[in-house]
Amino acid sequence: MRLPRPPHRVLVGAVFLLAVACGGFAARLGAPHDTLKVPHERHVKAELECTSCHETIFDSTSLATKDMPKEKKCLECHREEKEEKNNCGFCHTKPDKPETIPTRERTLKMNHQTHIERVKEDCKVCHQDLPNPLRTDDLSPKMDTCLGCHEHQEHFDQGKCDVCHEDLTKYPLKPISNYSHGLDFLKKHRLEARSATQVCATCHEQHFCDDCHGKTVDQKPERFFSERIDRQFIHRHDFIGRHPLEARADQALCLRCHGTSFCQDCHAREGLSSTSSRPLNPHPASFGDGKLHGPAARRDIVTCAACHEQGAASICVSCHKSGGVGGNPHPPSWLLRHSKSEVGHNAMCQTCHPN
Amino acid sequence: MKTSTGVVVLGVAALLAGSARAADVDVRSTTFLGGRPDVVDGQVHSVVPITQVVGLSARRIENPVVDDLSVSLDAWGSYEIGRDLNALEGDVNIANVEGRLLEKRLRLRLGRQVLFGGAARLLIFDGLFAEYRLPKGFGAQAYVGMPVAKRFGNVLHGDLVVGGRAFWAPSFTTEMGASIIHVTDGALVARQDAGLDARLRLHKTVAVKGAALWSLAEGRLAELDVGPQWQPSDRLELLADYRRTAPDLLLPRSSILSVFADTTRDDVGVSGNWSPLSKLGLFAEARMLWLQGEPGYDAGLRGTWRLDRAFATTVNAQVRRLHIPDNGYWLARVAGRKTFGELSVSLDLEGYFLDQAVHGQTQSYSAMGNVFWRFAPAWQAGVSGFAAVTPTYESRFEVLAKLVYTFVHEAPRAVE
Repeated sequence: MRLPRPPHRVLVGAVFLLAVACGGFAARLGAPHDTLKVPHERHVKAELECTSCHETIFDSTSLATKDMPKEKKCLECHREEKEEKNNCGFCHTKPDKPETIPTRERTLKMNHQTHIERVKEDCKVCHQDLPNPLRTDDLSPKMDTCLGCHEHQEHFDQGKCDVCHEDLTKYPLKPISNYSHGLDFLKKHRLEARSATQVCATCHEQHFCDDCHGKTVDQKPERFFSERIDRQFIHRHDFIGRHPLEARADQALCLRCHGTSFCQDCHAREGLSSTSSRPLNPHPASFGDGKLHGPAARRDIVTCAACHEQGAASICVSCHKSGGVGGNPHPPSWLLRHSKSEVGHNAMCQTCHPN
Repeated sequence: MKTSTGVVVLGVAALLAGSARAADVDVRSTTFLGGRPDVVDGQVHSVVPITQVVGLSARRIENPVVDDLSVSLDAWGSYEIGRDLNALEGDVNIANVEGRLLEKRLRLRLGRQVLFGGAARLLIFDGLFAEYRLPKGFGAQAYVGMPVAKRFGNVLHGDLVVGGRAFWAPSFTTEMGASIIHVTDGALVARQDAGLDARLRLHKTVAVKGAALWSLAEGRLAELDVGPQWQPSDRLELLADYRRTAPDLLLPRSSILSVFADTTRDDVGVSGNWSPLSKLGLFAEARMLWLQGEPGYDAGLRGTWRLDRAFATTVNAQVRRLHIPDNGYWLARVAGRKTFGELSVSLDLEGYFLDQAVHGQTQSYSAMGNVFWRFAPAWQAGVSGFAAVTPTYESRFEVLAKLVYTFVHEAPRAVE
């Protein structure tokens, strides 16, 4: 159900302009790029050492350093192709628009300097398949290769991902012991998020939460991810029909996202609220008797609030205000938690206690 | 609020424009076009909204001052076809800048942001968040700003929120925290809670999780959630938990109705995931509920059958029984998905059967069908249709088309 909302023309215009700009920017970035044709296998067959080209790898302590060979290194052997034959296509897939070597995302903490010592300069211990830029499959060392080392296997067993991984958000990491995102995880992730914030943030960025929990959600999650039939979205299918039961079973679940004004807006439009022009009264005939509605309100005020929260104009105030026929509505422990002096500076108290 | 939002958006846009060349950039765009019924003054009308959602993240923006500088933006705009331009809606959900200082020990985030954990529950606010990490897994967080009220209703009134959390996270599987939050709404304290939370791995296969929230303003327990989890293998996981909530403490304290209530809700339950076969996953749950002392229960069984290793064909089936003091229902659901290369088709059927009639009806049936196509590396398109016969609607039909664009750009490296 839509809620009335003040127009934000400027904001909406900005959002759409930004969307167009994003599209244009992304389209520009999305154009096919030049790739360098480096057949590693041929270089190895020519009995070249890896370090003949990757000279700086011995001193490389992180993947952030620039260890790929520069063009002048290639030209030590292939200068003739460039300068005499003008054959740029010998190395570049798009010789008319040659580009630089693209950077791969740095998501691993990898120290080549220490690793080269451990493998006694045998690069093939880790690089079992040499990468070929023209092949689409990624031939970088797999995680299994890393876990072949006792030390990293131990890290893995202990769930210490950040020893190797800078950022796990790009990895479709499978559940590990005690962090299974099992079949009911959507329902139970509340407690994980509250008690293991550092772990959640390791893999999930803010927009991941925002898709469902955003300030406003333009499409309910079950619509946004309609193809995800494996998920147990709360409002899926005919939630409207069963929501009174769900709300009764777990009011806090509703109230985490929906205030009582949300209930009222919809109930008023359906003619179910006390503010409707022709309200339908769902209560039994003698409900006005304090013996019925008093205990009901005491134990389930949230349900009352779904229709009767109009601040000072609430139907409750007319009878329960100070000196009213309804008497004192506060629970027995009220005065233990609130002092009478609070009345003077609390506008809500003054609704019923004007003096 | 409008001014602050505009400033945030412009600031973020300016930063993005200046930084995109030297950063990893994700661009997310989703366009929805749908048709569905809407109720106004008791009359059902058809509405056709078109919605554009955009998301943009720039990470590791190269600069000489701040490590891991990143910018995040999530926003949307919507227009209901056939209505005047006043019907335009839109919002900014996230717009912030984040970076690390002091050898990455200090993390700062400024702008509209989502914060979760401890007493903050899930808080959306405009303001500043800071986190400082000490050795041995210790750390502290603090935040100050203005709570952002959700459009779904003013869950959290307030014009100032201040809070913090101290934590100890010595490993991936263990974390403990103590937190506090204070929200004011004008002269009133809208919320003032202190919380404790912990996730402890007692053994390789056993963890205990818990969180408690004490309302300082009300002097009573607002929420307690605690339980062990046992995962002896990749194929079996068992959980038990006890939960107590005071739903009325989720009403703003500035609500006139908050003076009437003294509400509690308790539930205790067990649940388990079991994969007896690599292609079969089962989930079962049983819970006892006490709604202000009156008993109820909630139990369910769900299964997922993957007909091939590549998840190309899956079938889900579910049965649930909910019983509360006033009413209850049986629910049955069957859903399946089949993938043909870049095309996937799914069908989702659900029905429930009420113990006590609502609007004179005890049965509800609904069906949803989806076709989803990845027609280019960064592009996806889909169409969904929904049809239902329910206690609320004699018949209800909805249709939704969506176009999704997700692009990831990795910053190029210059050749010297």
